[in-house]
Amino acid sequence: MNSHLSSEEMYQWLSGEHGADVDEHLHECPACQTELLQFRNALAGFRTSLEKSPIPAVRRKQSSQRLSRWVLASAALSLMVAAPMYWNARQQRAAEQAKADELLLERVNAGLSRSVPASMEPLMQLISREDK
Amino acid sequence: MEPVATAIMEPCAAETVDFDSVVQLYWPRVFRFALASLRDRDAAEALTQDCFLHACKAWKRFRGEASIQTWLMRIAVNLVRDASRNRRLQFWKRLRTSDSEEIGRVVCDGRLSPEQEALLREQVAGIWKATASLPERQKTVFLLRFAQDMTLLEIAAAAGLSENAVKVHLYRALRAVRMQMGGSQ
Repeated sequence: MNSHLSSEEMYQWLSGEHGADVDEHLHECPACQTELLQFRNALAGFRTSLEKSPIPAVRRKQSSQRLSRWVLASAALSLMVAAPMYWNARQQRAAEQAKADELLLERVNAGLSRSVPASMEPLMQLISREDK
Repeated sequence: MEPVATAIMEPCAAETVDFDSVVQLYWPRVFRFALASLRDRDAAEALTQDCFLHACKAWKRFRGEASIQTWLMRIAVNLVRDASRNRRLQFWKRLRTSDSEEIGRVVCDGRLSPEQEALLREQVAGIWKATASLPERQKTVFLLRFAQDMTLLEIAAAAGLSENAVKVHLYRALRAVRMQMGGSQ
Protein backbone atom coordinates (compact mmCIF):
# COMPACT_ATOMS: atom_id res chain seq x y z
CA MET A 1 0.00 0.00 0.00
CA ASN A 2 1.90 3.01 -1.28
CA SER A 3 -0.69 5.81 -1.42
CA HIS A 4 -2.30 7.27 1.71
CA LEU A 5 -5.25 5.69 3.44
CA SER A 6 -8.66 6.48 1.97
CA SER A 7 -11.32 8.07 4.18
CA GLU A 8 -13.23 4.81 4.16
CA GLU A 9 -10.19 2.87 5.36
CA MET A 10 -9.75 5.38 8.18
CA TYR A 11 -13.41 5.12 9.18
CA GLN A 12 -13.17 1.35 9.01
CA TRP A 13 -10.17 1.45 11.35
CA LEU A 14 -11.94 3.82 13.74
CA SER A 15 -14.96 1.53 13.72
CA GLY A 16 -12.81 -1.19 15.18
CA GLU A 17 -12.04 -3.14 12.02
CA HIS A 18 -8.28 -3.27 11.94
CA GLY A 19 -7.18 -4.82 8.66
CA ALA A 20 -3.57 -6.04 8.39
CA ASP A 21 -2.98 -3.81 5.33
CA VAL A 22 -4.09 -0.67 7.15
CA ASP A 23 -2.04 -1.51 10.24
CA GLU A 24 1.02 -2.10 8.08
CA HIS A 25 0.51 1.19 6.24
CA LEU A 26 0.16 3.08 9.52
CA HIS A 27 3.54 1.75 10.64
CA GLU A 28 5.15 3.01 7.47
CA CYS A 29 3.31 6.33 6.88
CA PRO A 30 3.74 9.05 9.54
CA ALA A 31 1.26 11.37 7.77
CA CYS A 32 -1.61 8.86 7.92
CA GLN A 33 -0.58 7.84 11.43
CA THR A 34 -0.70 11.46 12.65
CA GLU A 35 -4.03 12.16 10.98
CA LEU A 36 -5.68 8.98 12.22
CA LEU A 37 -4.32 9.24 15.76
CA GLN A 38 -5.39 12.86 16.00
CA PHE A 39 -8.92 11.91 14.97
CA ARG A 40 -8.90 8.98 17.40
CA ASN A 41 -7.70 11.21 20.26
CA ALA A 42 -10.44 13.74 19.53
CA LEU A 43 -13.02 10.95 19.65
CA ALA A 44 -11.51 9.73 22.92
CA GLY A 45 -11.69 13.32 24.22
CA PHE A 46 -15.35 13.41 23.25
CA ARG A 47 -15.96 10.25 25.27
CA THR A 48 -13.99 11.61 28.24
CA SER A 49 -15.95 14.87 28.20
CA LEU A 50 -19.13 12.82 28.50
CA GLU A 51 -17.72 10.59 31.22
CA LYS A 52 -16.72 13.64 33.28
CA SER A 53 -20.30 14.79 33.33
CA PRO A 54 -21.80 14.04 36.79
CA ILE A 55 -24.11 11.06 36.99
CA PRO A 56 -27.32 11.51 39.00
CA ALA A 57 -27.86 9.01 41.80
CA VAL A 58 -30.04 6.03 41.08
CA ARG A 59 -33.56 7.09 41.93
CA ARG A 60 -35.61 3.99 41.60
CA LYS A 61 -39.19 3.93 40.62
CA GLN A 62 -39.31 1.18 43.26
CA SER A 63 -39.32 3.86 45.95
CA SER A 64 -42.38 5.42 44.41
CA GLN A 65 -43.86 1.93 44.18
CA ARG A 66 -43.11 1.52 47.86
CA LEU A 67 -44.71 4.88 48.48
CA SER A 68 -47.74 3.93 46.47
CA ARG A 69 -47.91 0.67 48.44
CA TRP A 70 -48.00 2.73 51.62
CA VAL A 71 -50.64 4.98 50.15
CA LEU A 72 -52.70 1.94 49.15
CA ALA A 73 -52.27 0.34 52.58
CA SER A 74 -53.31 3.50 54.42
CA ALA A 75 -56.24 3.95 52.04
CA ALA A 76 -57.34 0.37 52.77
CA LEU A 77 -56.98 0.97 56.51
CA SER A 78 -58.97 4.18 56.29
CA LEU A 79 -61.64 2.32 54.36
CA MET A 80 -61.74 -0.39 57.03
CA VAL A 81 -62.25 2.24 59.72
CA ALA A 82 -64.54 4.50 57.74
CA ALA A 83 -66.79 1.80 56.27
CA PRO A 84 -68.34 0.63 59.62
CA MET A 85 -68.73 4.25 60.72
CA TYR A 86 -70.45 5.07 57.48
CA TRP A 87 -72.57 1.92 57.81
CA ASN A 88 -73.58 2.82 61.37
CA ALA A 89 -74.44 6.37 60.39
CA ARG A 90 -76.48 5.05 57.50
CA GLN A 91 -78.29 2.59 59.77
CA GLN A 92 -78.97 5.38 62.24
CA ARG A 93 -80.30 7.61 59.50
CA ALA A 94 -82.47 4.75 58.25
CA ALA A 95 -83.79 4.15 61.78
CA GLU A 96 -84.58 7.85 62.21
CA GLN A 97 -86.27 7.89 58.83
CA ALA A 98 -88.27 4.79 59.76
CA LYS A 99 -89.32 6.44 63.04
CA ALA A 100 -90.36 9.60 61.20
CA ASP A 101 -92.27 7.49 58.70
CA GLU A 102 -93.96 5.64 61.53
CA LEU A 103 -95.03 8.92 63.20
CA LEU A 104 -96.36 10.18 59.92
CA LEU A 105 -98.28 6.97 59.38
CA GLU A 106 -99.65 7.19 62.91
CA ARG A 107 -100.79 10.72 62.20
CA VAL A 108 -102.34 9.61 58.94
CA ASN A 109 -104.08 6.67 60.64
CA ALA A 110 -105.30 8.97 63.36
CA GLY A 111 -106.63 11.30 60.73
CA LEU A 112 -108.29 8.48 58.86
CA SER A 113 -109.80 6.99 62.02
CA ARG A 114 -111.67 10.26 62.79
CA SER A 115 -115.37 10.05 62.06
CA VAL A 116 -115.36 13.66 60.81
CA PRO A 117 -112.43 15.74 59.47
CA ALA A 118 -110.58 17.84 62.05
CA SER A 119 -111.81 21.09 60.48
CA MET A 120 -115.43 19.99 60.94
CA GLU A 121 -115.02 19.01 64.60
CA PRO A 122 -116.12 22.43 66.13
CA LEU A 123 -119.30 22.30 64.01
CA MET A 124 -120.04 18.75 65.12
CA GLN A 125 -119.54 19.80 68.76
CA LEU A 126 -122.16 22.61 68.32
CA ILE A 127 -124.60 20.18 66.76
CA SER A 128 -124.14 17.66 69.56
CA ARG A 129 -124.71 20.45 72.20
CA GLU A 130 -127.93 21.53 70.45
CA ASP A 131 -129.13 17.90 70.42
CA LYS A 132 -128.63 17.69 74.15
CA MET B 1 -25.97 -15.22 41.87
CA GLU B 2 -23.27 -14.74 39.26
CA PRO B 3 -20.96 -11.73 39.67
CA VAL B 4 -22.29 -8.99 37.42
CA ALA B 5 -18.87 -8.18 35.98
CA THR B 6 -18.95 -11.47 34.07
CA ALA B 7 -22.28 -10.48 32.59
CA ILE B 8 -20.99 -7.29 30.97
CA MET B 9 -19.94 -8.92 27.76
CA GLU B 10 -21.35 -12.42 28.04
CA PRO B 11 -24.98 -13.18 27.36
CA CYS B 12 -26.66 -14.57 30.50
CA ALA B 13 -30.15 -15.44 31.67
CA ALA B 14 -32.03 -13.23 34.13
CA GLU B 15 -32.11 -15.88 36.88
CA THR B 16 -28.34 -15.79 37.26
CA VAL B 17 -27.96 -12.04 37.85
CA ASP B 18 -29.48 -9.77 40.49
CA PHE B 19 -31.36 -6.85 38.90
CA ASP B 20 -30.19 -4.36 41.56
CA SER B 21 -26.58 -5.03 40.55
CA VAL B 22 -27.53 -4.49 36.91
CA VAL B 23 -28.99 -1.10 37.79
CA GLN B 24 -25.86 -0.09 39.73
CA LEU B 25 -23.55 -1.15 36.93
CA TYR B 26 -25.41 0.10 33.88
CA TRP B 27 -27.11 3.24 35.22
CA PRO B 28 -24.15 5.52 34.29
CA ARG B 29 -23.85 4.04 30.81
CA VAL B 30 -27.50 4.43 29.97
CA PHE B 31 -27.53 7.94 31.45
CA ARG B 32 -24.51 9.02 29.38
CA PHE B 33 -26.07 7.71 26.19
CA ALA B 34 -29.33 9.50 27.00
CA LEU B 35 -27.47 12.70 27.90
CA ALA B 36 -25.43 12.71 24.70
CA SER B 37 -28.55 12.01 22.66
CA LEU B 38 -30.94 14.48 24.30
CA ARG B 39 -28.48 17.05 25.75
CA ASP B 40 -30.76 17.72 28.65
CA ARG B 41 -29.85 16.37 32.08
CA ASP B 42 -33.42 16.20 33.41
CA ALA B 43 -34.73 14.51 30.29
CA ALA B 44 -31.76 12.11 30.30
CA GLU B 45 -32.37 11.18 33.93
CA ALA B 46 -36.08 10.61 33.31
CA LEU B 47 -35.26 8.49 30.27
CA THR B 48 -32.73 6.43 32.24
CA GLN B 49 -35.35 5.77 34.90
CA ASP B 50 -37.86 4.74 32.25
CA CYS B 51 -35.29 2.48 30.66
CA PHE B 52 -34.69 0.60 33.91
CA LEU B 53 -38.40 0.52 34.69
CA HIS B 54 -39.06 -1.16 31.33
CA ALA B 55 -36.11 -3.47 31.95
CA CYS B 56 -37.36 -4.34 35.44
CA LYS B 57 -40.79 -5.25 34.10
CA ALA B 58 -39.28 -7.41 31.36
CA TRP B 59 -36.41 -8.78 33.49
CA LYS B 60 -38.06 -12.15 34.21
CA ARG B 61 -38.49 -12.68 30.49
CA PHE B 62 -34.85 -11.80 29.67
CA ARG B 63 -33.36 -15.02 28.33
CA GLY B 64 -29.89 -13.75 27.65
CA GLU B 65 -29.90 -13.97 23.85
CA ALA B 66 -27.89 -10.72 23.89
CA SER B 67 -25.65 -9.25 26.59
CA ILE B 68 -27.36 -7.17 29.26
CA GLN B 69 -25.67 -4.03 27.90
CA THR B 70 -27.00 -4.64 24.38
CA TRP B 71 -30.48 -5.40 25.72
CA LEU B 72 -30.54 -2.26 27.88
CA MET B 73 -29.17 -0.09 25.10
CA ARG B 74 -31.86 -1.40 22.77
CA ILE B 75 -34.48 -0.21 25.24
CA ALA B 76 -32.66 3.13 25.61
CA VAL B 77 -32.36 3.60 21.83
CA ASN B 78 -36.11 3.10 21.44
CA LEU B 79 -36.86 5.52 24.27
CA VAL B 80 -34.50 8.14 22.81
CA ARG B 81 -36.19 7.73 19.44
CA ASP B 82 -39.60 8.32 21.02
CA ALA B 83 -38.32 11.25 23.07
CA SER B 84 -36.69 12.86 20.03
CA ARG B 85 -40.01 12.73 18.24
CA ASN B 86 -41.71 14.42 21.13
CA ARG B 87 -42.33 17.99 20.02
CA ARG B 88 -42.44 19.35 23.52
CA LEU B 89 -38.94 18.07 24.23
CA GLN B 90 -37.70 19.57 20.99
CA PHE B 91 -39.04 22.91 22.20
CA TRP B 92 -37.25 22.68 25.54
CA LYS B 93 -34.12 21.42 23.83
CA ARG B 94 -33.92 24.65 21.90
CA LEU B 95 -34.24 26.66 25.07
CA ARG B 96 -31.77 24.74 27.21
CA THR B 97 -28.29 25.12 25.80
CA SER B 98 -26.46 25.26 29.13
CA ASP B 99 -26.49 21.47 29.53
CA SER B 100 -24.75 20.77 26.23
CA GLU B 101 -22.18 23.50 26.92
CA GLU B 102 -21.45 21.87 30.27
CA ILE B 103 -21.22 18.35 28.85
CA GLY B 104 -18.74 19.31 26.15
CA ARG B 105 -16.13 20.62 28.56
CA VAL B 106 -12.85 18.83 28.13
CA VAL B 107 -10.89 18.09 31.26
CA CYS B 108 -7.23 17.69 30.43
CA ASP B 109 -4.85 15.87 32.74
CA GLY B 110 -1.85 18.09 32.09
CA ARG B 111 0.01 15.70 29.80
CA LEU B 112 -0.67 17.88 26.76
CA SER B 113 0.99 21.17 25.87
CA PRO B 114 -1.28 24.28 26.01
CA GLU B 115 -1.43 24.28 22.19
CA GLN B 116 -2.40 20.60 22.05
CA GLU B 117 -4.93 21.15 24.78
CA ALA B 118 -6.50 24.08 22.90
CA LEU B 119 -6.64 22.00 19.70
CA LEU B 120 -8.24 19.08 21.53
CA ARG B 121 -10.86 21.35 23.12
CA GLU B 122 -11.68 22.78 19.72
CA GLN B 123 -11.94 19.33 18.14
CA VAL B 124 -14.13 17.95 20.90
CA ALA B 125 -16.39 21.00 20.65
CA GLY B 126 -16.55 20.33 16.90
CA ILE B 127 -17.62 16.73 17.53
CA TRP B 128 -20.38 17.83 19.91
CA LYS B 129 -21.56 20.39 17.39
CA ALA B 130 -21.50 17.87 14.55
CA THR B 131 -23.37 15.17 16.49
CA ALA B 132 -26.15 17.65 17.32
CA SER B 133 -27.07 17.95 13.68
CA LEU B 134 -26.60 14.32 12.65
CA PRO B 135 -29.65 12.41 11.44
CA GLU B 136 -31.14 10.22 14.16
CA ARG B 137 -29.70 6.85 13.11
CA GLN B 138 -26.24 8.24 12.39
CA LYS B 139 -26.22 9.88 15.79
CA THR B 140 -27.35 6.72 17.57
CA VAL B 141 -24.75 4.58 15.85
CA PHE B 142 -22.01 7.17 16.43
CA LEU B 143 -22.82 7.49 20.14
CA LEU B 144 -23.02 3.75 20.67
CA ARG B 145 -19.60 3.38 19.07
CA PHE B 146 -17.72 6.38 20.45
CA ALA B 147 -19.55 7.13 23.70
CA GLN B 148 -20.37 3.54 24.69
CA ASP B 149 -17.43 1.78 23.02
CA MET B 150 -19.68 -0.93 21.57
CA THR B 151 -18.66 -3.18 18.69
CA LEU B 152 -20.40 -3.04 15.30
CA LEU B 153 -22.27 -6.27 16.07
CA GLU B 154 -23.45 -4.99 19.45
CA ILE B 155 -24.56 -1.72 17.84
CA ALA B 156 -26.44 -3.67 15.17
CA ALA B 157 -28.29 -5.62 17.88
CA ALA B 158 -29.00 -2.54 20.01
CA ALA B 159 -30.15 -0.33 17.14
CA GLY B 160 -32.05 -3.06 15.30
CA LEU B 161 -29.98 -2.64 12.14
CA SER B 162 -27.86 -4.96 10.01
CA GLU B 163 -24.10 -4.78 10.48
CA ASN B 164 -23.72 -3.28 7.01
CA ALA B 165 -26.30 -0.59 7.76
CA VAL B 166 -24.41 0.23 10.95
CA LYS B 167 -21.21 0.67 8.93
CA VAL B 168 -22.92 2.94 6.41
CA HIS B 169 -24.43 5.16 9.14
CA LEU B 170 -21.18 5.22 11.09
CA TYR B 171 -19.02 6.19 8.10
CA ARG B 172 -21.45 8.98 7.20
CA ALA B 173 -21.42 10.21 10.77
CA LEU B 174 -17.62 10.14 10.87
CA ARG B 175 -17.44 12.07 7.62
CA ALA B 176 -19.76 14.76 9.00
CA VAL B 177 -17.81 14.93 12.25
CA ARG B 178 -14.49 15.14 10.44
CA MET B 179 -15.74 17.96 8.26
CA GLN B 180 -16.92 19.86 11.34
CA MET B 181 -13.49 19.35 12.88
CA GLY B 182 -11.98 21.02 9.86
CA GLY B 183 -10.69 17.90 8.11
CA SER B 184 -11.29 16.63 4.60
CA GLN B 185 -14.02 14.15 3.65
